[in-house]
Amino acid sequence: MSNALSLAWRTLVRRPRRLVLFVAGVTVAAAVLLDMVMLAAGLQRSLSDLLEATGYQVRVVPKGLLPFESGAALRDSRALADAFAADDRVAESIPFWGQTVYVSRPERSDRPIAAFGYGAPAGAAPALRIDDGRTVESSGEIIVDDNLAERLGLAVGDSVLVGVDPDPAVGALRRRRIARVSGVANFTFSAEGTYNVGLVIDDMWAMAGSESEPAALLLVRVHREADAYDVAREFRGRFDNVDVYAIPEIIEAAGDRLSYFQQLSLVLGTVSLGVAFLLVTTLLTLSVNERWGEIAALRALGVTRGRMLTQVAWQGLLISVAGTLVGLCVGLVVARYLDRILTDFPGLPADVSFFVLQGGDLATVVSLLVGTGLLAGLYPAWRAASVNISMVLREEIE
Amino acid sequence: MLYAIPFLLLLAAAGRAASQTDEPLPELLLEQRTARVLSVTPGDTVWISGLDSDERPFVVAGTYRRPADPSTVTLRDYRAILHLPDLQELLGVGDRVDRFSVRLRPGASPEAVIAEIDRLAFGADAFPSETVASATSETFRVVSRFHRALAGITITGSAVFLLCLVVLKIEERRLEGAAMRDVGISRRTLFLWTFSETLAMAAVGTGVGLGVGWAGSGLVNLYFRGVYDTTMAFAKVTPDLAVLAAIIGLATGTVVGIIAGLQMVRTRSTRLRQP
Amino acid sequence: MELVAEARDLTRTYMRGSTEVRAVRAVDLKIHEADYVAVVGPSGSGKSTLLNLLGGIDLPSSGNVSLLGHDTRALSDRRLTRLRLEKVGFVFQRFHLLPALTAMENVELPMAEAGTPRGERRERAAELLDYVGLGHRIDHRPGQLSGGEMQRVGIARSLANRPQIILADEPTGELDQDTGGEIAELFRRLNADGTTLVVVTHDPALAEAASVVRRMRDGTLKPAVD
Repeated sequence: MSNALSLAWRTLVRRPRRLVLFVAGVTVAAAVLLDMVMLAAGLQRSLSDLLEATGYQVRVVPKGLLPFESGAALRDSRALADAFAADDRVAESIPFWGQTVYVSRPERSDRPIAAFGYGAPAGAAPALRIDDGRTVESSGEIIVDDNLAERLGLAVGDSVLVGVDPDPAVGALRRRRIARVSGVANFTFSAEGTYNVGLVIDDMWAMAGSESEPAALLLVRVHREADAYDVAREFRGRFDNVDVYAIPEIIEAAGDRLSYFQQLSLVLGTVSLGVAFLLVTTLLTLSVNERWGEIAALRALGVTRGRMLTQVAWQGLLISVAGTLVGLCVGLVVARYLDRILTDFPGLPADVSFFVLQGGDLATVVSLLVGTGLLAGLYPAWRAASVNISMVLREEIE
Repeated sequence: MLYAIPFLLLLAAAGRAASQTDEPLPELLLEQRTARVLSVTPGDTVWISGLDSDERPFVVAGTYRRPADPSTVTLRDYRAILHLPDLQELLGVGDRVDRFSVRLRPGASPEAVIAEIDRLAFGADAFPSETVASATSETFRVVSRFHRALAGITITGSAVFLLCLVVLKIEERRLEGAAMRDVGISRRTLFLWTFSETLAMAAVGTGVGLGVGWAGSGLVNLYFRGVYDTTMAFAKVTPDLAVLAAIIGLATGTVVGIIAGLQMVRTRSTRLRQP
Repeated sequence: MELVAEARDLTRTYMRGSTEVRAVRAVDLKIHEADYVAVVGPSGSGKSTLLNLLGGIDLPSSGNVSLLGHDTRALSDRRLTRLRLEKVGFVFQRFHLLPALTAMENVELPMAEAGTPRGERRERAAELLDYVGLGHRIDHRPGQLSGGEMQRVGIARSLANRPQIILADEPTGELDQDTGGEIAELFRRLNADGTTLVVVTHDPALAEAASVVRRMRDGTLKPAVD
């Protein structure tokens, strides 16, 4: 075995420029394949991680929709949340609502800044990473994001004017209130360059003048020993006009919105495997053709068919392995570049990535390419092993 | 102006008593998918409420297909179009809208009008239509940038692959080339032979690639139109694109052909004969 | 003397395009231990085909070949390959050295295939290269050797596993006259040391060194000429 490997290696490096070129070809194929494997499930993984990080395993949304897919809302959300919370398996169930609010410093006459306002029950802090202070714990408090704090020069304890429904006639917000900044945080689902604030949901309802206690969704946290899937399944049939999802079910339901990336990954990934196959098989076939006389002589000297086949197959494997190792490094760099492009999608949470690497991805790519290299070497290896010794030797002389 | 604003739909059975009065019921248009999900057809009655209002009956005057808008094609929300006064009354918002469009008299300056609106309208911003169109197209500008990046990668890969194949070809023909030089064929002829063969390969590949691209775009549109139930074109091979692709393919072939040709003529015939 | 190889009523035909070629016709030949047999004849007379049949590289269309007591047609490819590896040495007109390996490594190759331990095969390879006069070139690759030197390496390689017979097909065909003479002298020395040789050749020097010269024409072998 080692003799065949050694001979395969020596035969390959005899033509270093050709070898480098073919390894480069396999490198490109490997890089593209890795990127496509990462892209195929990257966004789903990233979104799933973000959703899991909130600590709420189940979401309840208006029927037929996904969270924040439209402006539709659940009515009487507090009662609905209480119905969920009554279940022994549920640790917490909170309504969550969002709408555009306008924020300014009361002592200044600057135009208010439009921000996305999140409303949740007092003390709840879903999807927040608090940098300073704390979340809102009572009516009249507000938590702002880093961007807004920087823009308005806010610190914990400062007061802001927050309201909705701007009235052009009077040049003021129809419904507004003073709120005290309880904290500064990073809002997990905020898009790059946007402003976000959090208020107690009752304050949001009051500002909106709504008595129906609307919520974009309910967030439900189950006890550790409970199964989120079971909870979701059981509640699904209990209420009209709502859908209940465990996190993986949301990701699956969102699948067709993300199918473009999966299709692209499949097509480009398959093409790159095909190209790698063609490259390796072409190189090895030509290499065998060049060495026809040498191969016939080796067989005449007593090298077995199996040894001949192994030697050529090793060549294919070596090219694939070399190209794969370099290609993985190149692929990771290219993935970062492509991810920077795609994460510019408007409205996308800043923490989301499209190219997410998991340990299994590397194993998948390596095994696919190594397998391809082996397969690609089979035909030229078989040809080498099947050489008609006497005919080739005869033709060499003629 | 009629606007489609998503709102919570409460649907009763179509046979439910619509109204106690003799007044004709107000009408609305349902988006086709919404009508399908709710199993209603034109002429049926639906009951609509806002978040803080009671439900009211509307007659489905008809259905409409969602326009082929890239920014909304993947959304699965439900939509309907009502007469503006009906919607305002339903939502209890008085004389309020989310946005309005302005058509100027010929010769009026859009910039001046925008400045005046911005000055007067608290809480509102005015934009030229092009800006709105541009902003809502940002998603697809990102997709375009992504595709361009992928195109760069595939072009690089194609160039490497072509170079690999051509180098193999050259090595295969070393002796043949040496024999030609020995019998007096000039380097120039040998170069042109190698170069033109490579260019021909690139040209054929480009032609086939354009055909595959055109067929592929048809398949892409067929598939995604089915997935998203839309008439939008997802992929389009325009004459400009085809010309650009051809230029890139032939330019790649030219560069690789030059490299191959130079490699062919630079090797001395005696060295070509070495094992 | 022990019979090393024997051909009985040996015939070999093959197709070249649509034409049937009778390369060897009803040939009888016996090779005894320590024989030095030269087979001479014009191009296309079937000399190389006869050599390939004797060495088990090719199989007869009819008749049989007995190689070291084995009927070559009765052996599987694996056993025939093993027989060639251990008992037969080949020298080719075009040398067929592996360009990626040094002279030493080329000579070692059949021993490595036979499973000889590394130290032992390196020692023997060095010894053989010394024997053929290339002790100072063991680390050179074929591209750095002259034609005559390459053929010497080829001869050393053929001796690697101590074969009972060496088959050489036009060993001086690619060499100039002087170099060919050196190779002829080497073959003479090999035979003097007890090696059984069958050489197919146009080279008068090689034929002259042989103890038996057989002429081949149109696939048939003429009676022996000592």
